[in-house]
Amino acid sequence: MALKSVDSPEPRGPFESNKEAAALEPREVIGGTPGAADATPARASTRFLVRGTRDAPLRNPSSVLESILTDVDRRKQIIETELTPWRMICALEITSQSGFTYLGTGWFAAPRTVITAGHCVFDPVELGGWAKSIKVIPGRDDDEEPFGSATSSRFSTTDMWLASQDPDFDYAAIRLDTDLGSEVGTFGIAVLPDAEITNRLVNVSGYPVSPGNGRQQYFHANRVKAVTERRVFYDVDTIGGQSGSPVWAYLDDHSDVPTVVAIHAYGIGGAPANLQVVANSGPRILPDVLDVLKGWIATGNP
Amino acid sequence: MSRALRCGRVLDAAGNGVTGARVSVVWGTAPTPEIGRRTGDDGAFQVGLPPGLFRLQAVTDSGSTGEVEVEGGEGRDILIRIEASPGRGG
Repeated sequence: MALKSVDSPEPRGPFESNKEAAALEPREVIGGTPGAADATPARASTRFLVRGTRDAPLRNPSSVLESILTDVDRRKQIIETELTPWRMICALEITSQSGFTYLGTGWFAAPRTVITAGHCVFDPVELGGWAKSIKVIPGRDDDEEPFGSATSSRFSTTDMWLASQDPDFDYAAIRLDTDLGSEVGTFGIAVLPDAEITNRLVNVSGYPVSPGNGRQQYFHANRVKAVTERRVFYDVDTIGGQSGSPVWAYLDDHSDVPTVVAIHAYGIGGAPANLQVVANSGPRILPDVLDVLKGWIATGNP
Repeated sequence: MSRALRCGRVLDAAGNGVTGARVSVVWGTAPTPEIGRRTGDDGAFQVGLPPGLFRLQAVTDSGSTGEVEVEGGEGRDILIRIEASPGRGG
């Protein structure tokens, strides 16, 4: 299947992919950048971030009711949001066509390109179509905006999301006019074959409505529980406001490059019954997805 | 699965709208996006819900919460009453 990139009004040029989605393709990776800001590693990075694979969850779930997947909310607040990789993650304040405010999360893939969930930029039901505008705040910590903010009304998604809002294709880009990503850095992105993503330990960090009121960054990590052709299901706590969060891994034991393998979008209700898993989920980075993202990245450099 | 747009309000104990509360779907029997909502004037918000059963939660600046379970799809306006601690209402 070929995915076609679709821009919000005032199109910025189409991008078409020419590869079929293929879960068994070899690993394909594009690297990230650390950014020009302070390179001091965050203490939370060494304490919290996970690597590698694991056959069992890091902590066994004891009840299964909500997007908080256990009886205890396992997320941790990130305080050092001005340090990497946390600063690459952005709080989003989304204004719908009718003036309602929504909250989401995004992450830098290029100096002027922030990737998020498709429903954060285009939703005919809640947003009235394309978002009217989105304020992007990298590394937000309450009232602190360590790298400032940017507001945009230029977005891109795929023709599949535009036409059907299929959760498998729930991703999009926010186009900025400023180079915020040069300062904070950008995530790497990878297509992982089934054998490499199965049981992979993944990290998810974003801006939930609770706790933190969409103004504080919260993090949790655990393993991938299931994969389908186009989705990744993980035992990681999330809640509203975390749509668009990066789901990232470290592809090698000694790698320091946070590499996105999926884009968080759905809570527990998004897991198909036939998978028989309780998990949150997001669309998986596949070859055709990566092609679309490459197009958005190529047009997101100064 | 198609979603229906529902209007809602977050109310305090006196029945007044709570401006600036955050609303999210915290449980459901069908997929809903994990986007958050901030109430506007008079505590108003909108949410798109497919058919199914869902639990919505509102959180205020002070950390007070309210929850309600609703049927998805077309239906009446959704009212979430803020309580000192999480509870059910409607």
